Amino acid sequence: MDSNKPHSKRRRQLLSTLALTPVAVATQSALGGAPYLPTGAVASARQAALPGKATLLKRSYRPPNYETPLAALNQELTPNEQLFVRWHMASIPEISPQKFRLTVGADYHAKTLRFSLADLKRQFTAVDVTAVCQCAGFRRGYSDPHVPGVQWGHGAVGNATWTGVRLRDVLRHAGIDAATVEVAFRGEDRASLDSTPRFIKSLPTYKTLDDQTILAYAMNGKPIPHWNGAPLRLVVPGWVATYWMKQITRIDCLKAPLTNFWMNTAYRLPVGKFPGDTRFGTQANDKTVPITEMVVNSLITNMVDGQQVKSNQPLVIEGVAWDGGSGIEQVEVSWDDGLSWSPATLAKALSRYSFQRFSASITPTQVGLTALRVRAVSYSGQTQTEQLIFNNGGYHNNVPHRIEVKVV
Amino acid sequence: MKIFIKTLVSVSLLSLVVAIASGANEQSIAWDKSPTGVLVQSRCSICHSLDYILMNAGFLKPTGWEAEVTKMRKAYGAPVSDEEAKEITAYLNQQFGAGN
Repeated sequence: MDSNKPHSKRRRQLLSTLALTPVAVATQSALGGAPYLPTGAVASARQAALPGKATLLKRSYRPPNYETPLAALNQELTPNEQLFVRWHMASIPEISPQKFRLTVGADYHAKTLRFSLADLKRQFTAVDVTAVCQCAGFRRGYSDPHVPGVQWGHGAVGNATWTGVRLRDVLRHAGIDAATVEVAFRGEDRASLDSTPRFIKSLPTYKTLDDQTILAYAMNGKPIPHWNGAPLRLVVPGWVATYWMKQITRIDCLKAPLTNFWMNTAYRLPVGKFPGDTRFGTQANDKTVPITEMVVNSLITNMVDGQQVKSNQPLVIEGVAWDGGSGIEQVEVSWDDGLSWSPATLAKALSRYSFQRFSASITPTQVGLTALRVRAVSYSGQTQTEQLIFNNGGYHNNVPHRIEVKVV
Repeated sequence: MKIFIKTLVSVSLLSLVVAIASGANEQSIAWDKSPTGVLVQSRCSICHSLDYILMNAGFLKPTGWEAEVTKMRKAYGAPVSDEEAKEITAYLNQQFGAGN
């Protein structure tokens, strides 16, 4: 693999002069089996904290892209300060909750409404939704071959109980009608240059009218952290987080599909390779469709690569599984790199969109290097794919998570 | 340089303050001071810290880095001339391409 080739002398010099402590991450599989992160991603990652956030794994400083350590995912709800951070644009204004205003309108009639945060709370019913927030590029760094972009590992995901108002209540109040084919959302984040297209995304109308789709102002009972989209962000349970727009200040009902870079070029999948090609029909073309619902996935969260485990003694494996909202029916774990599988016990999840905690006790019987693996099945019948379904965006990687351990 | 200065002026004061606050640690990224290294730094770091490049080091083929530079210019509006784009692409391939 290209990423395993040694650096040039010049490159080594550049890397060796980098300040701060590099994060210790294996760059190669001891068993030679799994694709690993690009060498540059391993070398440039840092343990770092944004103001108000815990120490996370820095992928890029500006725009800020930080992922959650795997160990922090060993619980159903992800603490606010540990949720991953992902922005496209470098300029993320601090918006006062008092001064914040949301404008809601339609491009086909004159009615435009403005809401303060207090207006939203007063006029509409508050609802709680527990849902996994997963970046579309989750696990992109493990694509084989590697693809350009933020080289996310396993930490671009988290789960929280979000509190807010139903988007459909706000849209109906604003007079949404049958002419609406999509609803567009604008974030307040901006690039350094005016020539960079503003981050504006749309959803198909049916998804905006789903009673689980909310405009959230709280996360786990506290205000949403600034770096996660305060004061108001969209929560679209089951769908990847590119639609979970942060710092929303404008919503527009559209009578024609939105055309911009973020819809027509970015965040798209090849037709026919994944389930759900028809979920966002107004944005589909002959070759590609927008990424929409998350695929079934799972992580082992209580073990680390390179860990030593004892032979002929029970080993407890814990982790989380999730999918696009059908819920998790079954999880299996393996201690012998997939030769044999044992069923895990599932905890009661807070919702069908939540992390599904699991645990399993397995007993490795053979000493030596091996790999733990996990795989989940959703109630919709989805399974995790043994082989990566390659695509240029590095999306939908749900190859069973694998952690190499040494049985002693 | 003229373009760079013009660009900086067009950045609003608020966004500059926030960008600096969120990007303080990027000062720790060591960078090549050769003329082309400085060119790459001056153009690319208008919009993002240079670890965006470092993170993608080691696997992109020449057409891959060329596509990235084109994307930055065409999709994101990066102020990079045709001549500069060639120089920047060659540099990225040499320093951060597959096999390097």
